[in-house]
Amino acid sequence: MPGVIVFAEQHSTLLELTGEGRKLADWLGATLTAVTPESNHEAALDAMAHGADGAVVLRLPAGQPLETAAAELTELAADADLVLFGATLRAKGLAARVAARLGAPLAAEALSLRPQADGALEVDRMVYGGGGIATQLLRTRPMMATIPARTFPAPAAGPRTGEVRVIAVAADARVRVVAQRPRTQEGTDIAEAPAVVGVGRGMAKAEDLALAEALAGTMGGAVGCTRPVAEDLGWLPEDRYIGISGRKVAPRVYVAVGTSGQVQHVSGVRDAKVVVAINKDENAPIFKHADYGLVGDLYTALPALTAELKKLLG
Amino acid sequence: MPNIITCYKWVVDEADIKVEGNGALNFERAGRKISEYDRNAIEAAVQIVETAGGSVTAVSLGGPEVKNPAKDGLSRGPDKAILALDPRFAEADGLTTALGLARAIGSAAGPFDLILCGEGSGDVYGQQVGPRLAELLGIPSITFVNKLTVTATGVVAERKLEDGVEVVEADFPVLVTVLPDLNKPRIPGLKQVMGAAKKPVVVLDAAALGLTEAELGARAEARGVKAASSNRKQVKAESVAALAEAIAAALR
Amino acid sequence: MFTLTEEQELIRNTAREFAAQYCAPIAAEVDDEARWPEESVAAMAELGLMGVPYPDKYGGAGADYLSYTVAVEEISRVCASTGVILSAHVSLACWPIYHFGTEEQKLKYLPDMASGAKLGAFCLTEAGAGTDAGSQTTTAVLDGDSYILNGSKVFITNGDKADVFIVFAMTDKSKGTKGISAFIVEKAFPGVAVGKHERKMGIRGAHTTEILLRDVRVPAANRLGKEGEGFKVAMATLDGGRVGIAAQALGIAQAALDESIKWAKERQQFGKPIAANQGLQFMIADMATQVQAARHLVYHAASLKDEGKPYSKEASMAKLFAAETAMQQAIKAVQIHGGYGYIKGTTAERLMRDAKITEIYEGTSEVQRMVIAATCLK
Repeated sequence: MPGVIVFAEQHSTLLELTGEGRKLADWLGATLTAVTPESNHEAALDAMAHGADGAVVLRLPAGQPLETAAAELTELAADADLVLFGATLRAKGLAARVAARLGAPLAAEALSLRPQADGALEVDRMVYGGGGIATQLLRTRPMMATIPARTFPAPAAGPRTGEVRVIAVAADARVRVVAQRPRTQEGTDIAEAPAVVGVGRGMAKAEDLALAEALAGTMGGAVGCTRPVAEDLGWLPEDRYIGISGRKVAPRVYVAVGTSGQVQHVSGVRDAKVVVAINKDENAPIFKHADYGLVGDLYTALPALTAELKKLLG
Repeated sequence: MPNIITCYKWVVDEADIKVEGNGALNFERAGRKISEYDRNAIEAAVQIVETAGGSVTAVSLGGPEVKNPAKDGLSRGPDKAILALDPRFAEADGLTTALGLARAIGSAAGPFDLILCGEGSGDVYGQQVGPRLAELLGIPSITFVNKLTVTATGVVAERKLEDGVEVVEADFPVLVTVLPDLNKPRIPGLKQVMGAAKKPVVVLDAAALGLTEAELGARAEARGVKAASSNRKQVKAESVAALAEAIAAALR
Repeated sequence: MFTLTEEQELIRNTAREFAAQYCAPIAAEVDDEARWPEESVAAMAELGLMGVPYPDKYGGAGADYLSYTVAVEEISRVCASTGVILSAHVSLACWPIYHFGTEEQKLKYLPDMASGAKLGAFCLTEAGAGTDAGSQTTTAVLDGDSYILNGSKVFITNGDKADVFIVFAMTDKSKGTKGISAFIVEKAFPGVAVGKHERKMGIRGAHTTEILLRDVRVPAANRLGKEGEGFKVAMATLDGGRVGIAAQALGIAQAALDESIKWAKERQQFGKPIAANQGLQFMIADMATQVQAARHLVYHAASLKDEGKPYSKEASMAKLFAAETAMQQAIKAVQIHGGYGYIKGTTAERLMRDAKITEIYEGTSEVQRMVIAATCLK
């Protein structure tokens, strides 16, 4: 169908894309349809209260991966002007398959969408491990992009209502999901925490993480880390690793402790409101990516900072 | 004895990229290499064939920046290479790359059971060529795999996704994109380096691949790349107390 | 002038990746503890680096001398100790067998050595015979179908780890240097013993020991070349070894330059990186130019050897220049690092100690000058 289609697996992302999709649909003079898997039915309804003109849920047969929906989604998107996908790992594959079917270019993990006067869309995305920003122009229909969570703000709720349409996805006998092993969430989801303390290899041993945890606790937040701390040293579970191929966090405050500031890590905290860095090397790149920097030994600075914050925050 | 195709991209060594004063990126002295993620795919293919027999064909697409990557790829274990090279492929996007690879595989690779790709390229990390290629070839794709078992008729793949591990079975032919933690790519030994020259290489340009102007023109228009800049305040805190004040203010 | 072939570039990459994966993580420890880098040596064997320039027929990689030179350079750039372990083995131990050996000798020893299954060492130097290599006191007395060797060798690289030694001994004292013969001696031959382990200023991961020969019975079939040809074998071997050491020195010089650039960009004094000072910029410019010049000399000498052309003078020039460059660069690197350059754990500190030996072994800089002058003034 013509118009703007937004797809997301997650509720919050669907609403974010709906908000942005609404603006783009108005710009194009088109309708907005929100699409999500049937297991996310509530989100479909919610999308219509946040700006979508209509909603569709995809009914996947049991034991089928999300990517199987490519055929049905292609049919839905064939006449669209614009299709946006929330950039979850599964949806990236789905988006690519739909794009291949439609012979359309796909801007992956777009950071921003800028409507142009002639109906084209200028898109920015990160390249070279976070060291560069590439700009592309999408013009041929449908224009397609995948969008990371929290790129756009959640829209305001309104009174719209409508019907959720169900589209049944035909199974692909060649592929079968035979098991799911859910990740056990240990402690807080760092993506939800208002404050995050990120530790790097400046920490000498695993026991020292307690210093970071004390600071995080004072701020009501959680502890994250750079890739080596999770993957090589195994001091924290993988869901704590913040970076270009890990979690992206957007807390009010991010405190980088003992991490040099490699772009691969820093790009994970791009959207943090305030970034603070503590590092004993005055030349560490992290200071360029921080709002406030303290050159010092983390072993003295962390306890001191924790104590000061206790006084200020109670 | 599966016939495996492994795709790889010749990319800029990001360590060599220089940033100019005006934020422009300078690639003049940048070396080129096979994308790190693709090495895991090549290694996976070679390991499978070392155990189960079969063959590995390496396929790569690129423009004038590519100075014949065949030997580099071949020194890592594949038996032969197919190169889709054309000036029109300079900075090819996901659409063009997948299309070119599909045509190259269709015309020169012969029957295959499995295609292995990296999860994304080391330079632009679009993470789309693998599934696109699968769609064009009419086969299923399983992405983000960090554990792969090959059976007589297909694969059992474990995908590392946000919510946990998804175990997927698929019949041949199938395309799989692999994560860096799947394996540790071997350093090419000297015998393999010297032996690469003897392995067959097929080179096809855009015309030989039957790509039309319309197909080559369908891509998104590239509008330049600049250095990612920091818009942080970069204030030097004088003391721990001052830092605490700044943090407390941000949390309120 | 030098565009390496694809294979040569790929070999450089293999050596570079090997050095990054195996040598880099332990280079400081290898130096600090004078620890033999066992895992690195095993990895070099596996990758085929222990026989780079030897034909496939003898278990080598079938590449050329320039490829080997580049490999030594890349490895030495990260760990000069590992670089010399390789270079002593390939240039000084394998080469004389390859060049002067009979087919039987080649087939008996080279496959194991080129594959790295067996390690080699070169035993020429004695307490009284350094630069004056002709003053050999080790003797080899013919007894039936073997020779009995007696004597001691000093400063032998790979001494305690080698399985195969190229040993030089006097078969006829009355003939002076023309009375020296060369022998392939196996560590397993009774009477061969490792003596003193030297504690060195640098290249501490490479083991340097005495080799003691007490009534060692060596089959005549193991004599390398004719009786009396030993000095010729030694000198010809050292010509090639010269290029290997020049490559090691080049690697050290490059490392000194790399470390200096890194430090100059990161170290801030007076509110700016020290690289902003013109004096320092001029130092870097000079260092970079010297390294580049050294590289051309080294690669040229290796290329001449590959082409089968005379290369003795060029090898000496390369060794002389590269070694002096390595020493000077390393000193400058320490200076650029300031106080930190004097502290153990800073790479520049190790480079300075590693560099010195390149001006001494396999022909001192003075000997190189003698060789060059002699060819110029012939």
